[in-house]
Amino acid sequence: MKKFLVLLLVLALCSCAFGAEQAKLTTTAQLKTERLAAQRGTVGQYIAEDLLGDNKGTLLTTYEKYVDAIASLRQGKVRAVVMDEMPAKRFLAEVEGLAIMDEALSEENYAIGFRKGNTELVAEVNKALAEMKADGTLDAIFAKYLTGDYTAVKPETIDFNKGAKGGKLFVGTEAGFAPYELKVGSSYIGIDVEMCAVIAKKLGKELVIENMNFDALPMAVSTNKVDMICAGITVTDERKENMDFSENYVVGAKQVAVVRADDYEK
Amino acid sequence: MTMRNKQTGAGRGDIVLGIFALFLLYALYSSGFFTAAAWQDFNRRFYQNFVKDSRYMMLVDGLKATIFMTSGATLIGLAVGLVLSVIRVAHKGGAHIPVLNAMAETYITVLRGTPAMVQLLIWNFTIFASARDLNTQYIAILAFGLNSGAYIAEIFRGGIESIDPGQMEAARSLGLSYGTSMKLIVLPQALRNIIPMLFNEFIALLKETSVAGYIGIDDLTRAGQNIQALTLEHSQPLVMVAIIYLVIVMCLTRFVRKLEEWLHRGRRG
Amino acid sequence: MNDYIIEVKDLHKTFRLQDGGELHVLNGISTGIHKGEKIAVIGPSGSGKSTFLRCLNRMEEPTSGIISFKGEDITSPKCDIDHVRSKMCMVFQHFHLFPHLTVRKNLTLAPVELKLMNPDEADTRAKELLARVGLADKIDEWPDRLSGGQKQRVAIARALAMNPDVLLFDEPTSALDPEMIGEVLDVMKELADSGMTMYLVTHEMGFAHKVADRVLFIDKGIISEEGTPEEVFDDPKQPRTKEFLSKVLRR
Repeated sequence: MKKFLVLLLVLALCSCAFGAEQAKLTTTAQLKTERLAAQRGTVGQYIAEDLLGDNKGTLLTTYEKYVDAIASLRQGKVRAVVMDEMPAKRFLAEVEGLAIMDEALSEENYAIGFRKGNTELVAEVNKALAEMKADGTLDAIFAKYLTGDYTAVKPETIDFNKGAKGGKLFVGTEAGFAPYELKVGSSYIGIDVEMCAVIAKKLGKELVIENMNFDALPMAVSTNKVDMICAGITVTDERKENMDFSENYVVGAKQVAVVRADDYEK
Repeated sequence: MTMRNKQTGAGRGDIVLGIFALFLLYALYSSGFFTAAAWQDFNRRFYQNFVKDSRYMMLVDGLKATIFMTSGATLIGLAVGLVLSVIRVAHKGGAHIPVLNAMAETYITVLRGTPAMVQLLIWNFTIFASARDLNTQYIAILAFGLNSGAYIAEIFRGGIESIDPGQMEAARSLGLSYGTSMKLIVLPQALRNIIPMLFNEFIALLKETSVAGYIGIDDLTRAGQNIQALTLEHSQPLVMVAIIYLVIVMCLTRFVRKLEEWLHRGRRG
Repeated sequence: MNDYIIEVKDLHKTFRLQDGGELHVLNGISTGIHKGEKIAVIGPSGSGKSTFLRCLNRMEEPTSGIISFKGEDITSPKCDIDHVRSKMCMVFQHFHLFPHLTVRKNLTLAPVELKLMNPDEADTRAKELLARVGLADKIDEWPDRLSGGQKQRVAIARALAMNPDVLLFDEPTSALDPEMIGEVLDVMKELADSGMTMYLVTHEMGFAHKVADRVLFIDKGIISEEGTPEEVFDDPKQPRTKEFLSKVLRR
């Protein structure tokens, strides 16, 4: 019994020593055999799954919220979090000791999701998006959020077109994805929110935001609980089978690996 | 008697306070509270999380939603539970209502045998999928209320069956009808056991509604998560949410204990 | 013709058991009680004597047979059994006082609820009856604060508050500590002397001997011996009666 305990102690010490001498991360290729985290239902999860292959069952942990994934990274429970570059940059600004690996894991396009077969609404929204791209409205919204402190944006300044005659446009989102959607006080701000507000106005409708968990969004749009979902949703072939997408409104959004700064060597 | 398999509140107040203090100390310790720099950092983050832009109001609104849902669900639960338990007790008392009784039993089995979270999702995304103008909170109240009704039915039934059958016999032997005996003799005694358990159910429900965020309700838990998303700060908002739940539950638990003492006054221990 | 106030004809009671079997508790009992008569029912435990008593006011549903009360067949579905029970009150082994009500309310609840008396009358009557059982000072007490003997005296007063025609006593002293049996028997003796019609299931053979007009010995669900106390106690005919009495009287 005593011997067994001593053995256990030695093993524990060895693993500690190994842990300390563990090589730092330099390339994303190393991630294939490391513990990874992602937000549940996001494209980050799918990329991590592809990276890990058969090991995804043991090495991948998915979280309901980004903050939870980042917390587990800081506590050393995982070695990297796979996520969109934009929110990743924001975490770097707010949370100490994080780094983004230079090499992007993939580049994705964002679009608005619709119930399969809702072609009428898709066409209307595409028309609105095209107008916004043409007259610079969309660029202005991006500029507003990508330069300066967007947390200072007041939700009251966003026109939800309340009381519009054309009825309501229900949009599902997950307000934990800065700078695309955030809850402030009792209302919402963010690129997606402002973009949807303009779309709603062009459609003559009032914008109603339904804030739910990201993995509940496909269910919500397919059961007609909401008209469309807009939450920095990456277009994938798999998702195309289950829902229709608008034209892309973001092209080339990078998926990156967030790691601990002291664990990364360029 | 079947109770919900959750600790509702706690045992003695001192132990609760002790655990509470330890919990708080650990939370403080784990956020590195015990150095001057950390204290400043804590203050800064506290300002970020709760003070700036009146962000504490998100927690206040969340708490309102939580209490609103819990209260509404309890009222529905009481109505449903009363009907179900009347059916079951009357059936056992000799009323010939096998179909109703089987329906009540099925209801209780199904609603108690599936997680409240799953029921909530089914109500929101399947049954009320097209009712989009309906406030989601009402759907949650319905889902939690119907779920709670199954538990409350068992509380009522258990309370009534815990009364010595001799009480019913004695009342009937004086010529009182079944209904009158139930109303004047059995129920008043059963209520002494039932009322504290109903408050315990309320407490359990208060905590259970924390899954409502999944269908897009900004309850207390979700409000904490919304602040997390704003400030990207992990521990403080959640610890604050936990403290708010705990304070409410402790107050209610203390109240239930006082209520129990009051209900059992005049009776030999 | 007889002038029985309660008459029982060929009473049978069968309990269905959990395992599907049947338990024949009463196997054809025919008897009756006259107004003012006191009948003691004795017999070994499990003989069916309590079941017999409980069938009289249909606390147990008879399986077959006829029970008539003042000429009315109370086993018929048309019978208002609640009304019959209010005239044929029962005193239980375990008292069954209502613990959430004061002694006063225990006595006045049923008469007022059934509109036999207005609250003032019921209150006056309760005071009278409590004085009669020697508990006038306990009128505002809670039942749980009374001793066993006091509880049973309150229970008797509660039954008397209905002004019943018949009282059914179901082993009223069996659950009492020995020192409290006397006080309850004294109250019952006083009742008997006042002319109350009483059925008494009991193990108190001395009391039965002293008070009863007639004694029924029930064994295996039938009345195996019947007669005056002198006949049954002093000169039993049946061997089973002899055996039973020799066991209980030797104590």
